[in-house]
Amino acid sequence: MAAQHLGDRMRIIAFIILMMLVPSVSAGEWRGEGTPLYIIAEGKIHGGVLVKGGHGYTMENPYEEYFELPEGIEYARLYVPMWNYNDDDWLEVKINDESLGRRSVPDYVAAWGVASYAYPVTGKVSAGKNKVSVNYYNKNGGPYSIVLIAVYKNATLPQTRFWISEGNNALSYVTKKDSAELVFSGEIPKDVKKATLWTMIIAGTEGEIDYLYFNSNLLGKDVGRSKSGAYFDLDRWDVKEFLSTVNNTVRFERGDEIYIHPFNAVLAVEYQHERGEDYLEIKDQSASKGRGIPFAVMVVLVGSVIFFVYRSRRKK
Amino acid sequence: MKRFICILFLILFIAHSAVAELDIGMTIPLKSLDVYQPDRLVAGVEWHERGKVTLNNTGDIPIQDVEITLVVPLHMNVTLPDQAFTDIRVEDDRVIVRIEEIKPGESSAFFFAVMPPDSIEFRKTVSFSISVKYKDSAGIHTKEYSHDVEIVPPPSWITYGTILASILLIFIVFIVARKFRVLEMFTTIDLITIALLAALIGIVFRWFWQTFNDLLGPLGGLLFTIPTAVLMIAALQLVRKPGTATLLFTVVELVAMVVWGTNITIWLGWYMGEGLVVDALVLLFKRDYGDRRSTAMIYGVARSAFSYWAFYFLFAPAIWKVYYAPWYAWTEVGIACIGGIIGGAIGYDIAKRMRGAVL
Repeated sequence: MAAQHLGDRMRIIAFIILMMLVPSVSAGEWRGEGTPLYIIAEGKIHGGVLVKGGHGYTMENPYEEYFELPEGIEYARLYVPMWNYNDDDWLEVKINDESLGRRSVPDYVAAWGVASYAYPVTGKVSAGKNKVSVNYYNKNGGPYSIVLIAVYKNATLPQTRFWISEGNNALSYVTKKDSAELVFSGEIPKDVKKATLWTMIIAGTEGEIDYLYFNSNLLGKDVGRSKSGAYFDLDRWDVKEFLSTVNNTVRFERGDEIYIHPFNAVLAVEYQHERGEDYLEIKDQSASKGRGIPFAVMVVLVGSVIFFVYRSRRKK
Repeated sequence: MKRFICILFLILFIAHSAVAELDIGMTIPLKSLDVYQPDRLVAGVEWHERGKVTLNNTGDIPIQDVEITLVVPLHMNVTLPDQAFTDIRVEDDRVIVRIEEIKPGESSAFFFAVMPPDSIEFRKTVSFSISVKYKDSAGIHTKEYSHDVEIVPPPSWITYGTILASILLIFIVFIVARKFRVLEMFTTIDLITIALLAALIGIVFRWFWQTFNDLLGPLGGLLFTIPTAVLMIAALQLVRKPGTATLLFTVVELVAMVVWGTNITIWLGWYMGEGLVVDALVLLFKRDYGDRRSTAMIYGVARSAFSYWAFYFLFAPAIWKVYYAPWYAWTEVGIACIGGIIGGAIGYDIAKRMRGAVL
């Protein structure tokens, strides 16, 4: 009889342990809070900065977007944010029908597989229309958008100081991470012509109120509300009146959002007067980090095993 | 005889003379048709929905000087995404496109995006009308095409209704529970059992499913429906009180709220609903708490069918503003039912052994 009880208990425990073993031979998992935004490129140029993209999560395959670009592209970086990344997925980006190769590993990944693939595409894009298409293999997901950030040179235009940031920071209820901040380090003069901030946010939900601040000034509420397409928000802000002469800061606050992922923030400040030489500094890319089983899952599993073993022993 | 031969030649000539044939088609919204319902726009969404008009020259001569005029209904705001065409513009409610030539067997497509209305009173069908003027060797032709699209009212209406229904459901459940002193029937051990099984469903297996659903492709939902049915049958057999399933799924939602941040106001009705369905069946089967394999399987199927049907046909449109293609939604409901059958059968065996272990 005792042997029978032991066998029954062992079966129950074996069932739970079996369920736990499957992850170790499998692909996907909780990916953590991802990579905070950081500056990937900055500089000064006689010309301008372009940030364009579209068009939300649609599961189209191929997913296509066109970009009209001016002459003199000095720097260009392409982003493909993707939902539901798993290790056996792949993605192939083509620019004007030229393949950038097939990739299986994204540059940044967070939460339940919100991923971002970044491509240096300087020299791959050209003046005029550029067709970018994404073919992919992803069983239950797809691209949120295709976004292109480009810096172009035009000697007739005023000098512009710019900072380009990237990352994939999961501000979420699960991680209890409520805000993210990025500093555009450096000094700028008082007399500027224009100051423009672009922000790109993934997974914002209408009605779940988030906040966006620039140097502690509120730029918008419920900024992440899928207005540029499903789960995709690409915004352009005039921040001239809020500009500081040193270390400008953008701050994303999660507010009521359960998940929100800031992906990019770009600041471009157009000078009144030329200040020094033009330059472009491209920085090293950060590695994505943070993965594992959520703490709550472990606690519940262990607690359940202890309780049911205790319950069966107590009844005996 | 001569006349007959002439007519024959004429017929043959006409049959083989070159003709221009133009097929017009439209796709909206531009989303995967494997998942989303075509030709349905949801009022009140925050974004512009993209559409595509395709012209296909199925004839055997080229057509030239093609001018397409697309008239957008309901004065919906129209924008043009960057695209291959340059000769494309918006004038009020019209999109006007000019194409120099479409060769035989070739097609051309242009994109546009419309913002569905903020609100409409009732579901209605509207038409995008397309007029194409083109030239071929026989002269100038005009072809008309109309594409019907259904606009559904802003889900906020349904959302409010869903929330109200959820609150009413909670209210009714509390009144019934209080009147019949349901909660007093549950011992501390019962409540801990329910809480832990609910935590296993709401935390462990939800994480498990979200993480590994890709492994089974379209059958990924089984990773949640099977364990849920197993644990539900275990709860019914171990606790053996009326209202166990409702309490179980209510706690599932509460732990999901605490751990995953699930919106309790919107989703509680959905969670409690599946429990109520199972508890109603338990009473219908004269307090059979999944004591037979057949009833365990019926409970598993009923729970799965209700929860997936309610999700795809009520909660997803109401809360996410997403209309899934009916065949996709029904396939998912079907797969969930299979999961319910399997989970019910496995749950019966496991619960029986668990009961054996505790009795």
